[in-house]
Amino acid sequence: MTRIGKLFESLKRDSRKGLIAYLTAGDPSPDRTPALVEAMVRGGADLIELGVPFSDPIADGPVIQRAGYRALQAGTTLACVVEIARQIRAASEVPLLLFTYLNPVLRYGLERLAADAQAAGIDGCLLTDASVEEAHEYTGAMHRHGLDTVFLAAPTSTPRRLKLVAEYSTGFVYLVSRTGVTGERDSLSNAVAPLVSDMRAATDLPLAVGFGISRPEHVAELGKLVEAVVVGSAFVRLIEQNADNPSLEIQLESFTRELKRGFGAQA
Amino acid sequence: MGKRRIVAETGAGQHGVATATVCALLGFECVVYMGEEDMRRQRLNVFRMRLLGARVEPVSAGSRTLKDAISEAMRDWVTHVADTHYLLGSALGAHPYPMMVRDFHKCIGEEARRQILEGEGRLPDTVFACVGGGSNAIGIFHAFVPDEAVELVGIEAGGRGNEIGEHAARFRGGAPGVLQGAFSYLLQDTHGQVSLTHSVSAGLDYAMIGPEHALLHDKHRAEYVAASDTEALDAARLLSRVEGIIPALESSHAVAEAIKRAPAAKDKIFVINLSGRGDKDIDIYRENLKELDQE
Repeated sequence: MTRIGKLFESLKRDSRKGLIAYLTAGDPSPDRTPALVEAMVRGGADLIELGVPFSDPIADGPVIQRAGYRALQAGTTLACVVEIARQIRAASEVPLLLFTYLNPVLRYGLERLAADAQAAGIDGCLLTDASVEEAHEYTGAMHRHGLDTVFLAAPTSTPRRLKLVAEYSTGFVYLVSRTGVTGERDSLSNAVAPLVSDMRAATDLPLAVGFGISRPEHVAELGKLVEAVVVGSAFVRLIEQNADNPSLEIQLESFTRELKRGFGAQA
Repeated sequence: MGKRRIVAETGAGQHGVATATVCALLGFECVVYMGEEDMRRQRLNVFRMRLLGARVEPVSAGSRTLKDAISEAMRDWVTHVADTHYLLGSALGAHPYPMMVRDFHKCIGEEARRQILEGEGRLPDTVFACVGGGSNAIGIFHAFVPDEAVELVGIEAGGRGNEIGEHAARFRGGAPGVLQGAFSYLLQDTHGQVSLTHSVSAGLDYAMIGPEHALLHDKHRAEYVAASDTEALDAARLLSRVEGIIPALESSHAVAEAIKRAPAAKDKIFVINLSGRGDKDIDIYRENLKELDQE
């Protein structure tokens, strides 16, 4: 079992909810990412999604698009992100999920990435733009190297698609809270509750909800429905606005803590 | 489908104008995404879309051309999917789009095949078509694919040079990859990041070729070559003068390849797909053929 599986076991045992924090690796530069991750972990992040920058991020809104652009300008490649993970792993046992578009992975090589990711201490992978129907080769490579494969399910996913997501996912299933791309929103969509119950009917895996979640009150509300909540763009925006601010790490740590407080007694 | 809102992308503006026309006729809301660079160089079509009641949304990401317009249209579509349909203009994107777009364009080849048989009593030796995403090309090729004696030639944008970033010739510098839901030949760097492209014609300026063209290429059923910006401009000028047809810059690439082959092709029948007319490109022709524009 990966660190991801163990995390969800321990959350269950302690009746706690998990906070999953996303950042784009290499933003503002590859050498700074490990310290930013450490700050999020100190603030209470339970799992880190390391975003791999891509030139054409169709699933992302403007905030993460800009972060990817900065990371690419700083020379970040998939190989760099694997190296960043290795540095994080040297100092921490936090579960690490690679969050990436398919093309850089194809170019790197599925089998080679699975081997290198495992050696670096990465626990799993999520491909934003690979359909589960075509994912057999990818899941095979990842599973052979002991990595989890997390798939996305959306409010528009058909029952047949949800079944496939359940079949090919390990670790947890990532539910997209609404139709659309990543980015902060003021309110939560009412599509989440029906999606959660449809997905529960298809799998016993833990569920996480992401996309559009940026505030402690969102975390509070979703914590009642699922095992973990993902926050991305709000962290990335904080990094964007404070890239040159010496207090960036302290701000990340306290924002993470604030979000975590949303779970209340369940944190 | 019950949807009342249409989004589309456009490069040269032809698909955007067609979409805006349909939406005006049927009373649908219409939003067309277009790269800022393409809006600048295809101003006439931007105006036509607006005249037809469409909203033209400038896209400032990346190379500010077709690829970025498709990404933005997809983001809009997935966000508003409950009431919005995405009318993708080229043989690109996730299945079933490349297949649907081919089927909507296959009348080109069916009519061309029928007409040449009526007019000449036999099939052509060669069929030429320019290939950006590849909708006009797959449209004319499709009916001829079973006619094995008919050569199919797709012409990509050779741009202004052979370096990455100077052209959009995917079979010259590309490798298999995934972009916007399709798996095909893609101009990309060694890390899998999509490369910038250049072509004088907005409709050919795209980093991936439609997946069915990759199949025809790998099966050696069609051949793909490139024509440079200069060759396309020269071809446009020649066709205008000798045939009285001012072609679109995109189609001029196909004309250029036919001109190259013509001296060795006596008694052969060529079919060239003139996929667009040149009105929209008059500003670019004027910029590039200055000697015709003197007082």
